[in-house]
Amino acid sequence: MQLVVRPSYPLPQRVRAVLRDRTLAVADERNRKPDPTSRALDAAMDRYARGEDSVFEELYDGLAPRLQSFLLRYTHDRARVEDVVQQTMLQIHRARGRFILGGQVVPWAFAIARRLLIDSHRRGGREVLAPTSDDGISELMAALDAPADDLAIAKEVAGRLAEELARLPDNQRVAFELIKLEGLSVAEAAQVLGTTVAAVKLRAHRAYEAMRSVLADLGAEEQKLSRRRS
Amino acid sequence: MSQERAPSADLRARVLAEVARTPSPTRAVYKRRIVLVAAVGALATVALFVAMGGMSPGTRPVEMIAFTVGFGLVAAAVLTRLSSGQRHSMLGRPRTVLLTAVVVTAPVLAVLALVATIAWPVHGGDHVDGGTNLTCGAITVLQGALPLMALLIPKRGTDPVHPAVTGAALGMTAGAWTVVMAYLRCPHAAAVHCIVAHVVPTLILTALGAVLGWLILRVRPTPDR
Repeated sequence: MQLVVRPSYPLPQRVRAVLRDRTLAVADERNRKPDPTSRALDAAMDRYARGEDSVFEELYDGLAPRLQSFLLRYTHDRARVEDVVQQTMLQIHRARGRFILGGQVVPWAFAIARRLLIDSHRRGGREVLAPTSDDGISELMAALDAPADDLAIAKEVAGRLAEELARLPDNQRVAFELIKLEGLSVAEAAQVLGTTVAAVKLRAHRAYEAMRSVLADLGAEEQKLSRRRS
Repeated sequence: MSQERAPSADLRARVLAEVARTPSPTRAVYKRRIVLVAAVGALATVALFVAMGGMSPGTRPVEMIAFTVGFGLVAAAVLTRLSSGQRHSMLGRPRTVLLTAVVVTAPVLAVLALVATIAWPVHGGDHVDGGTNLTCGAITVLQGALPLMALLIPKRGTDPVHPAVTGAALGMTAGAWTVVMAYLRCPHAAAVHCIVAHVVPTLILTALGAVLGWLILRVRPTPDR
């Protein structure tokens, strides 16, 4: 386990407040529904399933960057990630006839990409699939809506949070990442993970709680240091 | 998104070239194929049922046959609906829903056999020897294999989440349909026979479905060209 240097300065209250609000937001109705971008992609996929070949470029441009970003959280091997993105897009192309009317393409694409990455790892990759937290800090910051004026402090906090995220059980971490970092709705994340909406809410909630406890620890330490100083 | 996290232009070109090179079936074409597979599967199942003797009521009263077949049909219809997917989802139903359906169905079918025995005790108490149980059970498995393949083939290579669980659910679905056929073709009404030769084979079909599901349904990378 990596040693953690805890910051000895006042914690950004707003970061804590944001995280607290996010805990409640897991059960929020807006997190149950796909965003407009996802709906646009669903419509594009529907047109593609009906035989409109030219729509594939739109699908690629909408899905590939999100898939690549998601996959790069688990491996530094860019070639492997590109291979998985390619395979995922080709799977979607080959299975377009199966796309059901009113279906959702984003969770489908994420589930295929996740499966192919796990399989490619099993087939012979030596690299351990683990979150590459150093790359994800800025996105974690954005997910927590950390204020720009507290950037240095918030970055430190986000670093701690990223470490905590890496320590979480896989199912909790992936649920959190899909919802907060990839922007999937709770229902979409549930589909990707093959589980129920309630289970995903619970997993994401546990992830939030774990991170809140990190913040609470930092807060307690900060108070102790303040008392010593005074 | 940072530049390092964006896919390269080269990857985009490769994917688009491959897509242009390999046409894929549209929804209309796929639907026609599904209808064809379902029709062939259903016809083959009925043909095998008829070839193996067809309907044989024996000494069982019509009410008993209607009761067992009717409840079997309800179970098969519910399972078919559950295992065939979920509205607006390309990824099927949650693992827990499928597993619950798989786990609950066999006991329900066993209870159905016991209830039939209690409701018609004269026929339910008949003695059936072990050889007959074994033969009838083997026929049940054989007759279930066709609908199982008909359910698996249209879904091949399409389950990235839990192919073995989906396969098990499809196995149990095929099992429920074959139980219906067993109640139509098998003249024996003894509870032990119904459980051993009609219900236990559904568990074999479920296990077979899980294995075939893992082999057939899971998403695989396409080979490099």
